[in-house]
Amino acid sequence: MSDQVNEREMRSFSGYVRVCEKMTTGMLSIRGDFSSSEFKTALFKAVGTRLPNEKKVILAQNNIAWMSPDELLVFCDYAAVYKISKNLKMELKGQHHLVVNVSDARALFEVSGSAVREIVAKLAPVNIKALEIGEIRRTRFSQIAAAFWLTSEANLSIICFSSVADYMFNLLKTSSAQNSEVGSF
Amino acid sequence: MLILKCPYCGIEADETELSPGGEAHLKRYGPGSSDEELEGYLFSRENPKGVHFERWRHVYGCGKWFHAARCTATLEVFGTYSAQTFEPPKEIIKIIKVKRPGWKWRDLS
Repeated sequence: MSDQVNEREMRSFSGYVRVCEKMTTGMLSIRGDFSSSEFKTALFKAVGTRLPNEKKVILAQNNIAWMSPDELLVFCDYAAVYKISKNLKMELKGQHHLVVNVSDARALFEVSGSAVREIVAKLAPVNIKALEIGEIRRTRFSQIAAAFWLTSEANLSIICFSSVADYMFNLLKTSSAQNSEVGSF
Repeated sequence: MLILKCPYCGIEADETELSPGGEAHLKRYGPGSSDEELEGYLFSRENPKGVHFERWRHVYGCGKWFHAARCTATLEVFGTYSAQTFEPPKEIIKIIKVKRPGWKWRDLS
């Protein structure tokens, strides 16, 4: 694993909501056949969670997000990724699957404050009023691909590719700048 | 703004979250086919004012390809359906028949 990520400073910004980049989060991308019971068993054994329902994030010790009809993303400790991926690969042996450590390839941002829905509304083409807590939405934030979910009414998590993390951080800074509140949520 | 419902993940995705894939239900003519067939496959496309069938990819979402039936003049969407098919499903044809009597698209009507 790369040490570079540890050298990057933890970024945060306080506007009318607080934006914070969560460094060194372990992320594991998993692809497989969701209808197979072996896949579900392997997932439960190696990650310790059941398969999330369509478009949902299971908020547990290891968050697990539904990314597409055949893709999942597991969040865990940065140091634990290697072990989980090794176990999962072992459990899935013989099955059609893909397990990739994407910890250094993805960036995770946490936004907190009472106006988190408004921050999304400013940046993404999403009907944010209809979004439930724990529902993941893959979309674009301005010009980059991203996914987000609400962990509560005042807490929002956003993931994007780490190659565009600077762009995302600047976007979030701009949309949460002091005195730029619209107040429609 | 065109809004299509992705049949794979159920998200109402707007046009900017999608990538257009051109006309739907094309039959590929490769090696062994006649020059006319290959030319038709490469260049001949419908250009309707009205009912049209297209391929779209939910590129900023689940990444899956799907089909959409819509009206090119009004942007009315008649429905979206799976990519794993050679022709539009009967339910969608039925909807179009009601909304656009006398419509025609290739050999469908």
